[in-house]
Amino acid sequence: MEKIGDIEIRVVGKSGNQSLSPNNYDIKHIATILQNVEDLLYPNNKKDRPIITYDIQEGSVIHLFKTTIQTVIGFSAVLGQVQANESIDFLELKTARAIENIQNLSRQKNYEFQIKTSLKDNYELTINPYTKYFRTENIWVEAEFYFYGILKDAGGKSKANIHLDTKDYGYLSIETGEEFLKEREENLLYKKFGVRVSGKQNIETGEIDTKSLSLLELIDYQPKFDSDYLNSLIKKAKKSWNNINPDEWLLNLRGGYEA
Amino acid sequence: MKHSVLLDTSFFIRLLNDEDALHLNAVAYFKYFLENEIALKISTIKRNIKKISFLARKEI
Repeated sequence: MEKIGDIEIRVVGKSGNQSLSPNNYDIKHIATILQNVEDLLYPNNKKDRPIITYDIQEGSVIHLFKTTIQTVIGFSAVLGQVQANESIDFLELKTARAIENIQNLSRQKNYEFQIKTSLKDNYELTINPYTKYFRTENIWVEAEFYFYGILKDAGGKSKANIHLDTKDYGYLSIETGEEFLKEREENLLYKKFGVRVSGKQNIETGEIDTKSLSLLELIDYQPKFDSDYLNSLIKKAKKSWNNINPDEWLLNLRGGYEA
Repeated sequence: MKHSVLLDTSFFIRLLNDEDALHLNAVAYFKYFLENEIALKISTIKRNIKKISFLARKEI
């Protein structure tokens, strides 16, 4: 078996009065397809992904991608499942969003996208203005999260945001609003912070939509043992426990575990 | 792998009362967790569930 496989995305439509061909197909649309194909094939771990090569051919416009056969086999299964279910809700977020982007382009330009792999002769997924490959909104709900990491960027021309480098969730972009950054007098960069943010979470898988995050609170997070700080807390808290026997209190609170 | 510990009510009572017999143990654990980047977690619903189950027992 070959180690390399093909993925073909054929675009059928018109540019003005003329049928689409590579001669009248705008580079903007090529860029959209290239960006989305990367998300479709390698939604995670882009840094270490195998190479994807590209060619554009006549008929109307055919985007031809080559990558490892293992990826193509996986992608073919995904296409089949999307077509069979007529839904993208079961997909990982980046893959779902890539298909959604192609669906949007199809509606904006009245294009039909026919997608197939070298494993099959027939088109495995067709996206046109009449298909509805959009995520069902209601499985994504508003939620609050805490993230911890090093703040590595702050600003932005049109959308003010901060970038937090976290161990658990990678590099996160969090919208802050201009006012928040304007009011900060101290330098935020390259310091450890915790953030309380709001964003969207999938109620079925728990997946977080990292493109939907906006800042609620910046927490000065210094995870170092600070005995002065601890003593100040002890001083405040101790009064509440005067004349209370903690063992009895806990036993009372917990009750017994015997059946 | 990143480690984490779940802290219960008892831990906080001992940690925040320097006259408690187990205070020094709690502080030593607290210091160890912070120095070794072990995430400290606390359940925000546990106590209420216990309270409810405790009250239910009283009713019976």
